[in-house]
Amino acid sequence: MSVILRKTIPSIVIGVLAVWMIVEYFTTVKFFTDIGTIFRNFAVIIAAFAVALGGLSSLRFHTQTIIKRKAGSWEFSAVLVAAIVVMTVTGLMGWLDNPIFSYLWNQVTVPSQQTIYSLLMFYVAAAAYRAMRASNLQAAIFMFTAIVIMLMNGPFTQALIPGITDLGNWILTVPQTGASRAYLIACNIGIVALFIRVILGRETGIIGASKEG
Amino acid sequence: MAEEKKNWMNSINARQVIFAAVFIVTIVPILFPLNLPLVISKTTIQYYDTVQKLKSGNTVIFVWNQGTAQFGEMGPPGIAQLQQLMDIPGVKVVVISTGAESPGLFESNLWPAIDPKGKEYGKDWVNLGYIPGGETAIAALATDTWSLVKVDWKGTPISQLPVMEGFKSGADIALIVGNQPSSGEEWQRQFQNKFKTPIVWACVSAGYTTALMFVNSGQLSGILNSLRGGAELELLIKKPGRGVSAMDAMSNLHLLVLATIVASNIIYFKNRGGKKK
Repeated sequence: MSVILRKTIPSIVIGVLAVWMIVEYFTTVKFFTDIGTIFRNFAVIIAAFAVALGGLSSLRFHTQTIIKRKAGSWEFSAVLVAAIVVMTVTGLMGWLDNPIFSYLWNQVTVPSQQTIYSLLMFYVAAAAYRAMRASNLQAAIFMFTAIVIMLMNGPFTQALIPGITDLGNWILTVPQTGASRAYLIACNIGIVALFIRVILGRETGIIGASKEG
Repeated sequence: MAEEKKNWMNSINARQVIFAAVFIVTIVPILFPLNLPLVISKTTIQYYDTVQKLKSGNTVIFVWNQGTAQFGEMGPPGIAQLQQLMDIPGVKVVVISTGAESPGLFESNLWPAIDPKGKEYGKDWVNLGYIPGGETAIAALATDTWSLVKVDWKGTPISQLPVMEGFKSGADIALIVGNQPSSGEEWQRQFQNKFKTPIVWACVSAGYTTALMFVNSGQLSGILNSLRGGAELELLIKKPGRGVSAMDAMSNLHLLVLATIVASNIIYFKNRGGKKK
């Protein structure tokens, strides 16, 4: 495939689309809006296919793991493939109105995922024990800040300690907001720089081509 | 015998003690409620007041973007948020999810806990289900809703749903009420920045500090701090539920984490003092 087909044409298409969407965002010209709406709807349709593609890709990968009997993992792949097939079939046959789907959703998916998430609390408490030590000045500041925010967020301690809300709010609205804004603005300047590189055709990674071409 | 007991004690490490303590301080207040006090935060009051300003005929988007894992933390705020909207007469509610798991969770866990207060499906509220595409989909929704969404989650054409008459683009929306782990920057960019649509949001505790930044800048009109914010909203709408009942356990856990930090530092300085000698 020639460089024009592989790199130049996709770069021009991306560049034109990017400029079009920016102009459309900042103006109210109907022509731009109408075409922009079509582009966006294309993107949503492609995203919907990407979800299906992800499922199929996962199914293919794990089916191969089962066929090859990969030691230590094929059993888990078998469970995953069975789950994908059962949930897809029963989901298409009535979704939550299907008793099998409903049972697997309400009795397996929801409680198991919530259990895994809830286990975080045990590890957060254990991590606090190991990490929050005033071993130097920076660690002491970190620990002090964490304690103030915890005292403020704890419903009982907030009610118990006068002034903790003001101190906590000051930490959150002054130093925390300042640092977060600096970080966010820096990230967004980076996005703008990346955007300029894309429309100038200098960022070829997104079309799967290396810099060398 | 004494030797055996000593060996058993030595085999217990700090992590095991902390895990056991977390379990106990969580389970005890659930079985025997302590009714510890709860102060309602300023951001929750801002949230409540913004929603209460809605008038009959206003259309509101309720963004429900939680995965099943977070339902324990974000379910109670979600229930309180939707209930407050249902409590206001004449307000139309459009439920939208941009997360694949969220519509299932809405149907199985969130909606059954809501009292619709006579609000009729299709006329007063609608569930558009899962819309893929992330921020691109949100932008499409804001620009020309009817060109993107053709049917609701049940497959009913939106032209047959009277509630959708009031939602052709972002300009028709009086308020966005969100519930997702992050602070909803994509909704701010596509609705608040373009149409000045007020947005109120509930996010997980880890996202609260980021969301607070957007409250200070005026891009969010109020936020709920995860489960605690949900409990506060339950008190404000006078419907105490799972959020309020979890607050004793939350207070205890905060105290436990503080106690572990204190214990950790005492042991650290004791050991350091010993090494210096």
